[in-house]
Amino acid sequence: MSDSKTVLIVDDSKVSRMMIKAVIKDLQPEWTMLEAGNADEALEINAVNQINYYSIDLNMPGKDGLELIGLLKENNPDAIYALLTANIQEHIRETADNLGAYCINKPITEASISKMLEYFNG
Amino acid sequence: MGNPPVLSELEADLLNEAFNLGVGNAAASLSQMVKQEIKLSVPELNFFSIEELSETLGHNQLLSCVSQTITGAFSAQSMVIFPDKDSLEIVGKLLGENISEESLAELQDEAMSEIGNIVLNACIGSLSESFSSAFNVDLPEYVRSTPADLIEKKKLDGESLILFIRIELTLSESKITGYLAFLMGVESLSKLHNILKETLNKLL
Repeated sequence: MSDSKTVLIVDDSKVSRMMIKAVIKDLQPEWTMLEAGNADEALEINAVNQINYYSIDLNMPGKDGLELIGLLKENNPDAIYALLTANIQEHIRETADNLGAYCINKPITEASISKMLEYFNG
Repeated sequence: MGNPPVLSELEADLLNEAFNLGVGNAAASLSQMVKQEIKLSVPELNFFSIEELSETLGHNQLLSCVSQTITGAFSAQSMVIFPDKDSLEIVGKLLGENISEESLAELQDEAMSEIGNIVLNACIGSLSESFSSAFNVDLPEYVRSTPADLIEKKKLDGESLILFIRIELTLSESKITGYLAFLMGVESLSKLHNILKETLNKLL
């Protein structure tokens, strides 16, 4: 059986999405990558795809990453969620913990995305 | 007056993201200092002339500004700007509730310099990391003045434009809008543009 997984990358920055995709493509070439530029787009994509992993930026126009994770979880509680942010304030970490999401410290580098993939792969 | 560089969508995105990171880091530090949550808006980035800056900030509005000169891959006069009326409130949050108004006013300069220093260093650190280039950062200087005077005092030699970034900071109940401004000469702007191009080329 193939180990093909689907990851949804949500970030308002196209450059950030490109950088995340480049690392995932390198380390998990068999995965399917979907991307969204904001929370509403992510919810639309989520409605018609079976997603295993979510890489979600915190600071986005409209709904932020934490709000989005709350909404996605209602539909997909068994998926694995990572929250990417430079702004790891105590309360953000706590809220993410309560939602069962793992905080990854930006900037996006091979190291930070590898760490996220390790988390996804358990 | 020189023309602002015309950034492609991806170049603007890259620059915006670098500031996003910097401001996010700064908010995490500031939040520890004021012991409360700080919410941030997504930064909004523009290139302004000095006149446009005065117009945006209000010609007669008294501003509280911390500036630091940066030199390196490009040079700029980097500034964190708050409306002066908000700065005492920020200092109050930083120093705690139990401090008299006199002491607050006395400590305002020092406390604002410290806040400015943290915000600017976080942003410059993130620019440096995003673009793999080092910058020297001079000591912070605190100034209270109107936009026109402020720019006059900080003016660089020759023509200059302002890379202007607007961020809303929300400290529990109070919403304070702060600004970052990088006053840059035409040559530095074109160096910055080249750095953005090169960084993107490496990604693509």
